Amino acid sequence: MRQILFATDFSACSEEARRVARDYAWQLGARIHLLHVVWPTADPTPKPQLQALAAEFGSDVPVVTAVESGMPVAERIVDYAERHAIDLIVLGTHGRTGVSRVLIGSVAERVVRTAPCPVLTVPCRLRRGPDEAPAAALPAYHCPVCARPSEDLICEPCRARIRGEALERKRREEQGR
Amino acid sequence: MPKRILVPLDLTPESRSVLPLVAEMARGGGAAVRLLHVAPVPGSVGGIDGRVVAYADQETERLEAEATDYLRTTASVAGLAGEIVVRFGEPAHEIVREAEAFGADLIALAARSGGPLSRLVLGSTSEQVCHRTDVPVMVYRPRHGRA
Repeated sequence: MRQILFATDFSACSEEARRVARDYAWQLGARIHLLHVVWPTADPTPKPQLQALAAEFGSDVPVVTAVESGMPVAERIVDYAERHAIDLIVLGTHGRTGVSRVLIGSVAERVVRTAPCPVLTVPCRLRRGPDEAPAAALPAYHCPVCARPSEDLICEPCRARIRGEALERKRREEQGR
Repeated sequence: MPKRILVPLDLTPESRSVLPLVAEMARGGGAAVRLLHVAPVPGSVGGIDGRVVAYADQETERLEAEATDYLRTTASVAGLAGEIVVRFGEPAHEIVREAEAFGADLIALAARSGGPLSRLVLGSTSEQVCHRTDVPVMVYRPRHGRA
C-alpha cells in the first residue's frame, strides 16, 4: 500500500478521517494524495486551505495536493484514484446521523461502490479507545475570508479589518459631503 | 494503524478476498484480528414426516462448529492468527455489536457485488454496517480489485 487518497471537503467530519489517513500513511510509509473536488465552475487552483491541510500532515508523510473540478464528486474521486493507481481511499462520513445520512452519506457510498481499490470510511464521531485522550476541539469551520480555522462565521481578525474598512469608508463619505 | 481489526466473513470466496489486505495491515501495526461469521438464527429442522430431526440448539451447535472450522482453515491459509467468533442473527446488527464488544478500531470487509436492483431493495450489509457504527470501516470490492 503505497498511495493513499484522502478526499476532503474541509468539514469537521473529514478531520477525523485526516487523522486516520495520516496514521496509516505514516505506518505504511505511503504517500498521501490530498484531494478536494470543486464545482465545475469554481476556480481549480489549490486553495490556501488545502495547503494548510497538507502542512498538518507534517514533514514525515509525503503529501501531494490536487484539486479536481466537476460533478458528481464521487465520480471525480474514483477517476482520480484510477489515474494515480491509488491503493486506498480514505473518506470521512457523517456516521450515525439519522435522516441526514440519506442526503449526506451518498458521496461515500458511491465511492465505495465504484472505487478500484479498498475504501476506508471514517465516521465523524469516531469511537476512541479508553487509553486515548479525547481530541482537542477541532476547528469545524474555516473563515471564508482568510481560510484560517475559525469558530465564528468570519474570524476575529478579518471581522475587525472589515469593520475598520467600513468605518473608514463611512468617514470618507461624510468628509466628502 | 488499527490495533483491533474485526473481519466479518460469510462463507463465500469473495468475502475472503479482504484477508491479504488485513494480513498486511495486521503485520504492519501488530494488530489483533477477530474473524466473525454471522449465521441466521436456526430453527428446528423437520423431517419429511413432520417429526423434528434436529432441535434448534443442536442445529446451532452444528452450524457453529462448521463455521468455526471454515474460519480456522481460511485464516491459516491467509497467514492470519486471530480469534474466531460465530454469532447468530441479522448480519449488520451482529457485526456492529461485535465491533463494540471487541473494541475494534477497524472493521474490514469485502462487499458483495450485488446488482443495482438488489442494492436498491436490500442495501448491502457493508452499507448498513457503515451507517450504524462509529468505527472506521474498510470496504473491499473484489470485482474491481487489483492484487
